[in-house]
Amino acid sequence: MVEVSASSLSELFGEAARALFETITDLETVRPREEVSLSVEAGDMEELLVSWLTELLFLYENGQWLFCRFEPRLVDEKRLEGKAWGEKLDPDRHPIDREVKAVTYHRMAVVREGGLFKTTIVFDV
Amino acid sequence: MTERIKIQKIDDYRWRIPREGKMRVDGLIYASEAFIDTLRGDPALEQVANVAQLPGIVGRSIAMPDIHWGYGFAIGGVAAFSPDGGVISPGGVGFDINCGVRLLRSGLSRTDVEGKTRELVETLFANVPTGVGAHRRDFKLSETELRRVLTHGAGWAVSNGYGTETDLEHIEEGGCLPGADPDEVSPRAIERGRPQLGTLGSGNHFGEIQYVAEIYDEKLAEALGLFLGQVTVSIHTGSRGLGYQVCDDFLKVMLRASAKYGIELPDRQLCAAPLGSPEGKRYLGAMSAAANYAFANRQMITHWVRQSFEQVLGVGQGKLGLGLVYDVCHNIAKFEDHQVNGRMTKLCVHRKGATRAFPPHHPQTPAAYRAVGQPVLIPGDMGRYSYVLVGTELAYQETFGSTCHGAGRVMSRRQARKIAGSRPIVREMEEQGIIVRAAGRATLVEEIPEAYKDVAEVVDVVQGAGISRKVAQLRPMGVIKG
Repeated sequence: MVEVSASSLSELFGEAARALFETITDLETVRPREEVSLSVEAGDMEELLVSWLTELLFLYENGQWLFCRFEPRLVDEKRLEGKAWGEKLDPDRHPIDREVKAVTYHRMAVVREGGLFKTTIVFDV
Repeated sequence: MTERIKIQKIDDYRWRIPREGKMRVDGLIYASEAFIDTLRGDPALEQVANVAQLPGIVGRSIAMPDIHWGYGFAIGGVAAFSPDGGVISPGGVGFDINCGVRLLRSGLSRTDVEGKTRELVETLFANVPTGVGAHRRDFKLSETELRRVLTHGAGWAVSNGYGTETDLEHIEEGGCLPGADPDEVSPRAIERGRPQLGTLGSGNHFGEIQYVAEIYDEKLAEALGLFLGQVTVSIHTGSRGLGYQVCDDFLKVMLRASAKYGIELPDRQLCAAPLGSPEGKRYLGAMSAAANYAFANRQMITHWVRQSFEQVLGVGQGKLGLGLVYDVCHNIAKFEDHQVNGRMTKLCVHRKGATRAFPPHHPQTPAAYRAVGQPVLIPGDMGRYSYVLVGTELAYQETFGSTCHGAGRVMSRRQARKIAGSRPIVREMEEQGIIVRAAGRATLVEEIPEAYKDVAEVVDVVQGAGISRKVAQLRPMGVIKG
């Protein structure tokens, strides 16, 4: 379970993505060498966050992509156009801590507190 | 909230959550006094009561002694639903559809592999893809072929040279759930499943070389082909990314279906659809397909385990005798015949972190074990032991023929990291005579033995309650993990 907060929704989505890849590896070892574009759609804000992370996880699982920099742009509450920078997994340089099997909806709610957007994400590992 | 869950003692191993509020049936927990004390205030009990509220639930909402919080349904739960008004729920099966365990016995004694454990572990680690992105260079699967896997399960593996026909007789449901519908498995699930067939995965999944350390009942052990000091191999894995994707896809479908059919949910994660509804049937078709993928997965790994032993010990299968004792599912929903009010009735039994435990003489207990009951395989943590049990008539009457499935965590992964983050786990295990090879550095720390309940205590509850009988204890010699 990770808790993230940020001053904007786009930033919150970026922080959540960083948390995902921090769970998998040591982000210090990942270089932003290549750029990948993504676009996801969903029924609501929470579903959009899960879909964004799930899409990144899919790119890791099936394409061995590790990402360290993110630029998600929320078109509206249901659509996101984003970019992620990273490189392909190199077992000699990237220590793999664990496999994340899924991003769950458990206890997920994107809330606004004061000037900050916050959420809690449970990764199934 | 949880304080409100009432628990009444029935006997030393049984506790009742009495039906109240919107519960349609009682909850029934199998636990010792000590377990119940640790469970008080645990959200898992509330989950047992929540499941009791679902439409069409039959008998009781059941919890095994290894119960702990899970997505919607608790892990360690059993719930049966009537086809007439009952529901099916992906949360009642779990993300890792047909996660399960299989046990291979050998003709070898512990002394036959003395001094060779490390080489066996290294060879297994090389031959059985373990950890992220690992797959065999000599195995590629087309989409057409994957669809055959989804339809035929372990049978696909056997007809492609991975194992024998005899293996199939020693797998729950013969290694294939009927009614699998590959068309209900999304393109994304197919894409995730293609490179992962025949891979172990990570987390609590493992391959383990063990020896029979104790026999509790000579007659039962003999019937299962087990003897003291014998080398055995356990494989614990499931349907990998494909099963996860099927669950993920259908949680969305079921959220909408619950609203559509007016199913009142005490927790969103219990989302379900009527068994007879199009959504329910679609999930059953997809779930069965994912279950078949898992059966094929364990079957292929079995083949590579056999090859690894041949490679290291330089002898053929005739001498090795690596035969399949049994293969059980512990995350599944299936139609089975059970007694309800004295009448045989078809029910949809959800087992999430629970194992089928059919009695002697049941037609689905394999012929070889008909006189003693269906073998039940209960893995423990990597440092202690695992158990072989058999099912009983009482289990058939009380729990829809079900029992526990493992140790269950007592420590979160985060807690485990905190206490063991800097410990040399591989060396610690080696000092206990267990060779461990793991792909992920954090996995090992999170899987330390003390992160789990002592599985011996779990097994003592199901034996004490009479829903299983102990046959043998297996101790680890070598472990591969993701």
